Amino acid sequence: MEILHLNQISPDQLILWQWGVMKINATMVYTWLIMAMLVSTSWLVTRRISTDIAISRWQHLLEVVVSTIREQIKEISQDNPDHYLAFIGTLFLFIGLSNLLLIVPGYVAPTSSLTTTAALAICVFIAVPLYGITSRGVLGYFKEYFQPTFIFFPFHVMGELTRTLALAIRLFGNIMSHDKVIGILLAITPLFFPIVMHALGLLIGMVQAYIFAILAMVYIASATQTHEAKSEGQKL
Amino acid sequence: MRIDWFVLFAQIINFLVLVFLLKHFLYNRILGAMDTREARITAQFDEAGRLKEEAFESARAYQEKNRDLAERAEELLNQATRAAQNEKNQLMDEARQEVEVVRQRWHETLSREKKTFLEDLRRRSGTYIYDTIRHVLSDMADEDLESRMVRVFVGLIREMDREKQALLKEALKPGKAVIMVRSTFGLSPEQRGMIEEALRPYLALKASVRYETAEAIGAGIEMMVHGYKLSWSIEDYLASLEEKFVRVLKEEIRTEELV
Repeated sequence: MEILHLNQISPDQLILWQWGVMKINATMVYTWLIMAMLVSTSWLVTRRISTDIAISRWQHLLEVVVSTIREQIKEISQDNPDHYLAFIGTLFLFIGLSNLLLIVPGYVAPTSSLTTTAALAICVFIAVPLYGITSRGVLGYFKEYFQPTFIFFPFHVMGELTRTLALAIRLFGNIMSHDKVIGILLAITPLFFPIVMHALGLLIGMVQAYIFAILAMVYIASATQTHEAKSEGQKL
Repeated sequence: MRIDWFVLFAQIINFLVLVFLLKHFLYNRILGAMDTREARITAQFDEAGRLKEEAFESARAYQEKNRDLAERAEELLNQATRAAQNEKNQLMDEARQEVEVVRQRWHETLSREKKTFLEDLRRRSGTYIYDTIRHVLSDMADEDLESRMVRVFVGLIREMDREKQALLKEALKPGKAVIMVRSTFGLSPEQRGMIEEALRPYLALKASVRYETAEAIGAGIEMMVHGYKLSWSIEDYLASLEEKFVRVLKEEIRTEELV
């Protein structure tokens, strides 16, 4: 019996084209595939979008998805959800579809690549101060790093870095481990048990997509609302 | 496990491109459509609410109009009822008056007929009684009625009480008074003699007797002198008979009316 090495599971290892440092590997190809599916579906459904009460099923599906994401964002941010919808919604849809396609044989999720999850985490890492500065200004945002005293500055920075790392590792670990477990189970019990685990994998994938998006929204909300909460506390 | 920095950068770019594309093709369009639909539904609800309000207003106006019409109809009905009642009362009064007039006329006619009938009855009764008594006296006592009347009249003169005698003497006192003796038949000298014989106590007072025949006094004899009158006539009996007859007639009429 031969068990795959961890490196062999990652799509990063499958390089399709390379020229110097530039390369195209399976992670990027699958990413483009998911991007193409999301964009083409959106374009096909919304090119003849209806504003009447009677709408198509696909439009209905997209409206339900977008409305649900908006409601979740609104519950967390207590703010206008449209400011964060594009970023948080795209995170959820990309990770969700990426994990959902695990059911397709031969498909390897880009989210099982630490590079992809790190890229997404870095996007969150950059988006949090951007939203915070946009909402509260440069001084208002960075002042939080020196609260309650300047001694806490390094701890704040470490906190930012570690939570970003945790985001990337959590998603990567869950999806990669699932691929790993499926590979092991296929080798041990090739009949029914992998099917059950695949179903469980779909659930885990959607939960991870939800967790990633929600945590990103929580970080952004904490960066945009701390000052307001403090101001309200001073007023009281 | 190694991170490929080019792939990392490429994935960041990929993700940002995806954000841009989905924002353009998905979120903006879906949110725009939802907002448009929501605005349209809100407008439709507002329109429906406005129409409902108008419907309520119309219904309320119609109800008020119906109520006014019902009140108006009731008022008109009451007026018509009152007018009909007044008309009825007026017609009833007129009918009563007409009935009263007819009744009055009928009573007058009846009274006139009764009077005529009684007068006729009295006249005929007097004639019949007169004839009957004359025949009875002629057959039974071999005496005519006139002689009997004279004898009764003489009896009356002789049987006057003191008071009447005093009254007669008082009437003859002025002197040369004329005692007027009137009768429905002519008195024979013998009969005149009987009367004068009866009046002799009073004739001493220089009074004279004058005789006269008059139909008006009925069957009888009377004597008049300066406000004093003494008479005997069948008319008195006839008057009594008439009175009794009228009473019987009234009772008969009352009985018929009751029936």
